[in-house]
Amino acid sequence: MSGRRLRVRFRSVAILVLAAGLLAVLAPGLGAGICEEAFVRCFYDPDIIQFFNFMGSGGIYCALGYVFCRTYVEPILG
Amino acid sequence: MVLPKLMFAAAVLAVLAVGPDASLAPTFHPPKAVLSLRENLSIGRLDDDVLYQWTGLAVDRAGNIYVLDMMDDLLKKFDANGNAVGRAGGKGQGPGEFLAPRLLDCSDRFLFATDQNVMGIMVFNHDLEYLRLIRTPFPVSHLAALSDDRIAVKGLSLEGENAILILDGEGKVVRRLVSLDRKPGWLQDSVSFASDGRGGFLIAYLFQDRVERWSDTSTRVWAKAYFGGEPVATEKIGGFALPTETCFKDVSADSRGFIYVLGGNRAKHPGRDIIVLDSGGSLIQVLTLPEPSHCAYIDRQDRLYVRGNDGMTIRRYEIRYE
Repeated sequence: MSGRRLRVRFRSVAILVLAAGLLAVLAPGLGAGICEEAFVRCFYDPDIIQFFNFMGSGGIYCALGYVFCRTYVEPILG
Repeated sequence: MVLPKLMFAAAVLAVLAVGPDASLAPTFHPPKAVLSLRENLSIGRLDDDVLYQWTGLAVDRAGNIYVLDMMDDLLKKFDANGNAVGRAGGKGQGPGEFLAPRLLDCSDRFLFATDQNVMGIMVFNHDLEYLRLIRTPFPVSHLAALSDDRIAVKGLSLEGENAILILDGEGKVVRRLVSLDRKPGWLQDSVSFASDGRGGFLIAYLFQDRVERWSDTSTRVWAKAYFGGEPVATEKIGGFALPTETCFKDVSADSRGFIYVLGGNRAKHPGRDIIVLDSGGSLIQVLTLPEPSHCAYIDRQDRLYVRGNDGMTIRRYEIRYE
């Protein structure tokens, strides 16, 4: 496996571990899956919402991410 | 020692998994046409740098394969034998660059690509040269290229346009495919769609148990459910009733008129079951892939493209009609 590939794999694993750790802390309070969690975090991210409200799209950006997550990411993370 | 065992297990799984599966309808007796899949091309492996996590895929008439990769933000081109022949894009917000590449389709001359952070459709030629941006007033949640100057798009809106729009090459709306079935609740009109090859559309709902066929006169020919028709569960999160089950992730058609719908959570094998329908919407059979996929793309030569190795591999299957 090449160095670049290893770095990408390491980064993916690190992100997954961090996400899993975060979920382990938050899950009892949220009772939600990773896509729902990502949606909530997106929707209440002041930077994202400020930017996209300026663009006139508000929470649609987060909704689009949620749809993508349910379609694409969820099967990978199980 | 572990690797050979894993490879053996994967091989056994692949042999067992690819083939007819009557999980949706145990009492179903298939008519004459019985389909099977045979893998005839694989692009990208776990130990190479070809693909990292591909998202959108399109295939031109010559069989060249175009794919968007969201890890390195590149648009990549492979010939029909799987050889890499070009790449373009890269991370950025300049013309032809990507931050979150998503959807892709192609016409005879152009490629149409989207980025989650861009309101519009990027146009490239088949040599991967960026040409222009077709602006849209909404984020594009799905698209299908109908010709060089006709693109069908579904925008994501909370309360706005509830239709698939047909845009010309400048982004002007030339037709509306109206009356998507939007049940109360957020994102209930999220759909994937494809041309049926006869001037009509096939529409599969992500959060509803519903597949539709529309004729070229914007008339719904049929709408059917394949998982019992029960509404999808929702969860109240942050004040929003988010649908938490997926029904259908993608839809495509072959030249014989068979319709292929990739099942979501509701399927027995989520992301792996492809429900095959005849042109009237009757269930023919269920094909089960060895790995989950987010798409089921069929090219003009009736070859099926799906995801492998969590996005590091494109698998191409020959569809066999027996």
